[in-house]
Amino acid sequence: MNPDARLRNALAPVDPPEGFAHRVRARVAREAGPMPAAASRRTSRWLAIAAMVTAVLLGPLAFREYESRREALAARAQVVLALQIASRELNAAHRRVVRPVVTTLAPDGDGVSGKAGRP
Amino acid sequence: MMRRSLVMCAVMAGLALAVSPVRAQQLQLPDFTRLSAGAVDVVDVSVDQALLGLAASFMSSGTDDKEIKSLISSLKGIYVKSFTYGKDGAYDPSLLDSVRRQLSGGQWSRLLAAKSSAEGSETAIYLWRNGDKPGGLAVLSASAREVTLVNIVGAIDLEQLRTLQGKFGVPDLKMGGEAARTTTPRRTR
Repeated sequence: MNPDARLRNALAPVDPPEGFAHRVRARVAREAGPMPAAASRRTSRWLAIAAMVTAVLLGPLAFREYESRREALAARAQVVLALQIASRELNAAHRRVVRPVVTTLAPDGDGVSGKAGRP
Repeated sequence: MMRRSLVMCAVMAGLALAVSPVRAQQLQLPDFTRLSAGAVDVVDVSVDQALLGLAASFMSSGTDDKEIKSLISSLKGIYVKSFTYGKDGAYDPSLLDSVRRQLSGGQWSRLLAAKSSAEGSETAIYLWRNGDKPGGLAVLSASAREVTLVNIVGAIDLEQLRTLQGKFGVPDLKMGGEAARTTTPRRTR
């Protein structure tokens, strides 16, 4: 047989065996189907454990963060209030001992005379 | 045995001094229960060094917060007691005597005192000095209807403290009529 004929013979189309297409379809349907019940249970159990561990580990940290933030805010408010009162008292005392500055407009329009002193 | 006891005592005394929060510039405030009894408004603020640090750590980089942060950076405590009464003479002024006694001695010196017989009020500002270095401030203000005591422990910039009023979204709490009459020199054309 010449090589040309041998090649044509080797590459000639061959029909698949009986029921091949049906078997392929059945396998594809089987593999794409839902996970077996046991495997599904295992996965969800691990997911639950992971969620619980995360919550146990991060919960206190988040709560501590929240608490310290709350304390810091309260401390800041206290500091501001205390400084406000201190500043108010300081200004009040200062105003009592220092006479207010009197401003008068000079006749030529560009002079200002300010007088300040003790009462 | 005797020597060992002495060493133990010295160590205990040292520890007590080291952990004691009491500083010379921190006033020993008496029990103000009697002062607060008839008050309609009471403000009691006690911020120690730890709380100051906590507050500072939570301050933003905004202008106002920056200003407070720089002001409190050298402070070791802020203590404020303020009582407001609904009627004149509702408290016994002698309750403040123990505070006045503390402020009249030691390293405290009176920086300013203002008394108004007409208003029946007096305000005094005291500075605690260690040599030339100021290390504390006390303000004692008493009028017929209000008593305020401020004790700031640590080095404080008075001018910076004065300029704080009217900031942080809190209105300027002007007192008396003089503030309204005070004007700033201004050139007009």
